[in-house]
Amino acid sequence: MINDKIAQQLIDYLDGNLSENATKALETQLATDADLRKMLDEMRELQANMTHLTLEQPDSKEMTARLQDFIQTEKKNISSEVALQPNTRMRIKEWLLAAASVVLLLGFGFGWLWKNNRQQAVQIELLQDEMRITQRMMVLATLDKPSASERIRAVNVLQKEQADPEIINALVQTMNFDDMTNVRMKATQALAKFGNDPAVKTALIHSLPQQESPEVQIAIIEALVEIGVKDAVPILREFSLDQGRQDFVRQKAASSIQKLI
Amino acid sequence: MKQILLMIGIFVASMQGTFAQKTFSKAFSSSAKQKIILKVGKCDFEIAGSTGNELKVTTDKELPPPPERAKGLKPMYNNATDNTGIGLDIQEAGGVMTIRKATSQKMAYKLTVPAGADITIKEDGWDGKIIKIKDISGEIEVELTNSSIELENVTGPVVGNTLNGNFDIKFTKMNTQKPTDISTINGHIDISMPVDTKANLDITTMNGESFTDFDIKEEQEDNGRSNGLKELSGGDVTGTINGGGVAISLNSINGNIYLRKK
Repeated sequence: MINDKIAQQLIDYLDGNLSENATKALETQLATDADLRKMLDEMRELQANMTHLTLEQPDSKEMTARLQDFIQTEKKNISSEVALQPNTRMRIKEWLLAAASVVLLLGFGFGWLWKNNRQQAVQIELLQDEMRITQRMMVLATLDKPSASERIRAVNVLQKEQADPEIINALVQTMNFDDMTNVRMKATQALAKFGNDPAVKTALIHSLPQQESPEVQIAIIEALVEIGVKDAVPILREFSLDQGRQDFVRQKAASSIQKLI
Repeated sequence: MKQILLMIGIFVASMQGTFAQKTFSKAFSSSAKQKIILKVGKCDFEIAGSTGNELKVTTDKELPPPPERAKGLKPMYNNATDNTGIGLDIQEAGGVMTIRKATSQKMAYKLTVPAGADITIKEDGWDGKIIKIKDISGEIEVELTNSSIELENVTGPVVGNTLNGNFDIKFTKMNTQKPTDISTINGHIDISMPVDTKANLDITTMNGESFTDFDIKEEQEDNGRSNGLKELSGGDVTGTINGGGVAISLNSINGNIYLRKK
């Protein structure tokens, strides 16, 4: 097999660049080696063709100019393609990274906010509970104030609250013992709002014969009818027959019995 | 000559009236919150608000001298002692002036009090008089039996009740925070208040009628019985005027209720 060294010797031989001794040694080998001779013939033929091609070579300047144009054009094409694609890819990657970072941050942010809001909501609920308790205590304390108007306002507030033993007891005490008839009437009307509580029914029945004011008696009778306390019928019957009471109180008691039966 | 004698006569008569008038004054020990409590009966009262820090009571009526047999003894009426010379027992403590009747005589008094003072009146007995109060911006509480009450140029709140008397009230403007609550059994309630009063109304008449010229829900057409006021539907009337606001409750068992624009 012909190696690169032998090929280089053949080229040098054709070009006349071999030394005398090397030329003799090569020619001796060519005499006995047919493959080597064939290779030498091919190389000689190629060299001859190359000489011909060289003769038909266009103007070198024009070639250079064309070549430069071609190179510039290709550079532009290549640069435009190569410049866009990596940048676009990089931008997409950057955007993806940025978006992922934003999503991650938003996740953390929402998580933090949710946790924080939850804590705040719990704190607000606790504060609201404390405020409700404080407000209730203040309202209940107002029932002992010297101003009748303020006591009525307290009753108006309490009647909007949920049924509660403390509130019901406070209203019962007010109905029975407040100095002003107007306040006792208001407390009675407020108790009617809590009519589902058995304590209210009992308190109204017990309070009716204790009240001296006909206005409060009327208010209690109306509350008993509003709640539908059938257990009040006996005491109402007594009232309706008691000649010592005002006519309108007896009439009210009598008409209420009809509504309850 | 006759004209001169007539003028002299009028002058002497007027001087006698002046001499007959007696006045008692007492200053409040506190100007922070002043209150006047009257536990009285068998007398007419006119109470007017004024500047100043004292209670001034005047009366034209002369108390009759005690009988000779009572010489050296103290009158015991109402467990009160006349410490004013005009039949009243007046005590003051911490800005609260308590006035009690100390004579069984029918009397009439005019009181001048600080305009911002609170006034509480509790009627003893069943004589039935007229109590007039004007120019007061404090709270007014009254519990009467047969007496009627007339309030003029007051702001409220007013909380009061009477068995057989009437309530006539002319509010100049309404206290927007504290409820007003009026109740009668046989008397009427007649209230005038500013057109723009914002209030939650609760009006109840068991056997009476109620009338108003305010725009409240559940009203009926005028039936011509009440001088241009519209008749509200019977029983309970609950509604608001001018969008609602302070609670005003008016309740009468047998009397009529009139609620007017001022």
